Amino acid sequence: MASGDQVVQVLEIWPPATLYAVLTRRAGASSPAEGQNVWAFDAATIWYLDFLCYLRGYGGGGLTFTLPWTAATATSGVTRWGVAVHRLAAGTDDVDVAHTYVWTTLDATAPGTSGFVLYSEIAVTDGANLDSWANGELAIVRVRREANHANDSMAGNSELWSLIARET
Amino acid sequence: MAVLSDADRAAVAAEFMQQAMGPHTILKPDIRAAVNALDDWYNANAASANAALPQPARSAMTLADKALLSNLIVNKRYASGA
Repeated sequence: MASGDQVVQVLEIWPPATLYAVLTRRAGASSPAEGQNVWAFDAATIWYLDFLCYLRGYGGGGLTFTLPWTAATATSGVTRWGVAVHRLAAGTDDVDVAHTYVWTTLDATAPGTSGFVLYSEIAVTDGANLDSWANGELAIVRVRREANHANDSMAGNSELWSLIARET
Repeated sequence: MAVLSDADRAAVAAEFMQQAMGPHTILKPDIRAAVNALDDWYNANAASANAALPQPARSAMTLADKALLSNLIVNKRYASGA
């Protein structure tokens, strides 16, 4: 398939056992108000969220992950997002063994209005940074806010709405 | 009583960011500076606040009681729209 094609299918969203982003409802302002489910990432401690994903039609060009997010209260500052992959290759990857995630990061500046959605894109190169994820395989795509990094200056939670990925 | 430890001040800043409604135009370091400054102020003025309490309350109330009373007054004055 070609660059720009959506080759990643999100099957499940799994909060990790600890240090997980918290599912939160952000009410809209329509009548009736939208009940917008978002995943809140803390501003002081690194929290994580896992997506079980399936890769198909991938041509090896790397993947670009889009993180739609809002700031819970902030109108300035930076959220440092990270994406990493844990490939689940048949007969190779033991899910009972600890995996070392390789992070690709992005510093995203908060919109000037806390209700505005920002689409932050993280391009992950093919190979080790994608844990050599191959066509027809599942993987855990892990997202985090690196809240303890010096670049992460935004006050308050970052709210992740979803995860979208396409071939770069 | 000394000022809060660095870890306690960090915990206060983190809890504030979880609870505060915003919007916030300031950054995490600005919030931490505010925590430090207000904690320093409480430390410098604790004896004065205690002396302002009339007897027998000053002697009879525990430190926790005085903290609760102070919280209730501050909340009523500045957070509840009074």
